Amino acid sequence: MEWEQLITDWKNYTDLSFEEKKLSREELQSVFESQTKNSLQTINRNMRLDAILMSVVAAIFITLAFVLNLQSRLFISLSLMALVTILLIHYRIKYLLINKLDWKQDLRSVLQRLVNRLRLYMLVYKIAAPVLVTCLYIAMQTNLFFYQYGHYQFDETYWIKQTVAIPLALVAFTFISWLTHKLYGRDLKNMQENLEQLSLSQ
Amino acid sequence: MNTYEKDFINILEQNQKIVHKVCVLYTQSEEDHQDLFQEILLQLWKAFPKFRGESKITTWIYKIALYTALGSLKKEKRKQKAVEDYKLDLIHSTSFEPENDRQEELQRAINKLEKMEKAIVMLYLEERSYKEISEIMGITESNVGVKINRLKTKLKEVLKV
Repeated sequence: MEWEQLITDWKNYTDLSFEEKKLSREELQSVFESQTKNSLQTINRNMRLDAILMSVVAAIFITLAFVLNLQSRLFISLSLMALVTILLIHYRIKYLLINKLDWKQDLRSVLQRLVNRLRLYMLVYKIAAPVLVTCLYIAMQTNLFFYQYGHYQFDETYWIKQTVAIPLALVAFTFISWLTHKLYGRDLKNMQENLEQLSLSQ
Repeated sequence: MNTYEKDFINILEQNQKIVHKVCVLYTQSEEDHQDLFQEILLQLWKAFPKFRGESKITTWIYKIALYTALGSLKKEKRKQKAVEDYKLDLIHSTSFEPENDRQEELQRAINKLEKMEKAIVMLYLEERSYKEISEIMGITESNVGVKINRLKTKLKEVLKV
């Protein structure tokens, strides 16, 4: 079998398939109207709404904590802001993966850029989350001490309790590493494999 | 439908064959074919506002269609989404089978290739120039030549040409 024959076979094969699946202009319009446009609007709207809703809810709780003059208002605010930060990083990764593609570039460059960005965001995520968790723990212990004794002259028990921050940071890092791998690991691996296949050595 | 959307539909109508061929290359079932087709349409529509005609329209479509098919993100989603919101009756439901043994053999051989290799083979079988393959894939023209030669050998082994 010659290459010319393969090209003919491929064309016959795919042309026949195309004739069976070809959509008329009206069908294309209908698919576009009912699916494509709607899907895009829904995806973007949902992501925007999620992010806005989350920020608004956090802002309401923080305001309430201050309006009610709660003892732990600073701690509550800090916790909520940490949560919002973590979730915003997550939304940013999602948005980047779904929307930020530059098609002036070739396939390899698009993939390479995406891989680099995804790696960077995963790293930020892996560092930010444990740091925030640890800071929250330290802030909570300090807060509790203040409410118990009414001053910031820390005793030995306080420092012993604060040492828990170290294993806590390690646990948080391990958990977040596992989570980021679970959420984005497969996508990253897939893109890296595709890129490797484009290298000359392959 | 505004003029802008009509332009998009025009481009799609004239080039839907490319999208279908990419779907044939990367899917095994009718359902997956429809899902991928729909997904490529979505990516094309998202990218359309930034298309300024710097490259050929076919090059642009190939890039986006192949990227989508490579399933960097939504392979799983594609399965879940399935046909729940897709108007099945818009696409003829006849499942496609190769017409003869040679075509079946070709399909089998292509299916044994890696994802990127499939893309290069398809572009070659579509008689795209090395220059266009290079522009789509992002590898040099000489690299395209090297890869095609390797793929010919690989395919020959599978097909026992």
